[in-house]
Amino acid sequence: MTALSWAHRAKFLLKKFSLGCLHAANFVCAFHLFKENVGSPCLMDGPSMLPTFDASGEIAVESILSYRLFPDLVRGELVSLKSPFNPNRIVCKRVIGLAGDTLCVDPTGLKAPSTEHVIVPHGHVWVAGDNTSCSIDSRDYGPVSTALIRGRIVARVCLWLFDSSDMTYSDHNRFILSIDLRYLLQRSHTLTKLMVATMMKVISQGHGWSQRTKFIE
Amino acid sequence: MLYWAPLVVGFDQYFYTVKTIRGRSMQPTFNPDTSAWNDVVIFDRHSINSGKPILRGDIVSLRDPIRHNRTIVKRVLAVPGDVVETLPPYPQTEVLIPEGHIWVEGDEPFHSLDSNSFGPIPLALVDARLRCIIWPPHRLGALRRPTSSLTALTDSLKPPRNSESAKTERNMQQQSRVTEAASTSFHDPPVTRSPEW
Repeated sequence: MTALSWAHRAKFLLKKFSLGCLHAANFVCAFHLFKENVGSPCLMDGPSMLPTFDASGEIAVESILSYRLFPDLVRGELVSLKSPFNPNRIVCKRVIGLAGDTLCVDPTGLKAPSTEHVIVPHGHVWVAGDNTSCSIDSRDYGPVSTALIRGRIVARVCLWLFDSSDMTYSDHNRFILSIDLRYLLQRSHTLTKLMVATMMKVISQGHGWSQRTKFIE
Repeated sequence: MLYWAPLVVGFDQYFYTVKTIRGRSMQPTFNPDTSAWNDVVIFDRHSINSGKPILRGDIVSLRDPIRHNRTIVKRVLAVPGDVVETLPPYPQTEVLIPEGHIWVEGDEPFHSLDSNSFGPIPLALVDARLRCIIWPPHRLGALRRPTSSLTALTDSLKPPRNSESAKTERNMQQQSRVTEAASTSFHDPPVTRSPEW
């Protein structure tokens, strides 16, 4: 009798444990999918973006969803992309030229003669690091395909405890976000336009809605 | 039901998925004229994500470098370090594949938009390796790398010319355009060991 109850108990515990594992795996999957498809803060390393980002210990917010929704890049935007030399490496660079632009490969003459010019082909962009003297970018691997681009870098997170000079505002002493306001405004403008357009569509199409608005007027 | 969606989507995104192949750029490996159906193939993303080396002759799916939201299916012809003799649309006659890049081509030389038009492609664009055809039922079977030995060619030439010998001949022709890198294989480069002292 007691042995049976113990067996029952073990079975029950095992069932509970396996279900717990499945829940954990599900949560990990959800977290990873969010990170890969929507965006997340990520740690940056290396001197190639030096005036903009410090050589180590910087955390930047990468927005992948905004690139998927609005894939039109603007010159001067920061993007994260998979390195054409090493598929496991993700690098952050600034977009310099879009498809169809003619540009000088290296104005400093470090990696190519400063008279060499190139036309960026269709479906490609020209990227460069902010620290010209210490960056591996389009000067080495040429124009990069837009299929390699993961997302935009939209914000910088600085830990107040370590760095107080970059502080913009503080409500807590844990995280301080210094967000590129102009970028957000530009994007929110597009978003509001889109929302207004869809709402107008809904209003004009839905009979009940249009009748009601007429009635109110 | 929706609660378990991440597990399913995660499996689909990082392990295996099933897709239909459209178009004729990989004839006769996929969608031959004799078949009335579009081939349905198992795509293995896990082998790419886990960092297994891509070998010459593998069939891979990759994101189109020009139109970034399309996926294309091609055969790997050359890996980093190889020298390839290119076909007409490409400006140079010979090209050395740089580090982290591969050269891909369709099996059908006339209706394929491949490396001959857009050059060597970065490994980061490779999405999955194609494992086996699961539909239509009479074409069910694993996809293998073409055999490079000469005996395979002579064996397949014994019967009067059939589709199999034509396939081998074409693969030989493709392989003859590639000069392989000095190290025998791409995944174990020669190791130089310094003395202990």
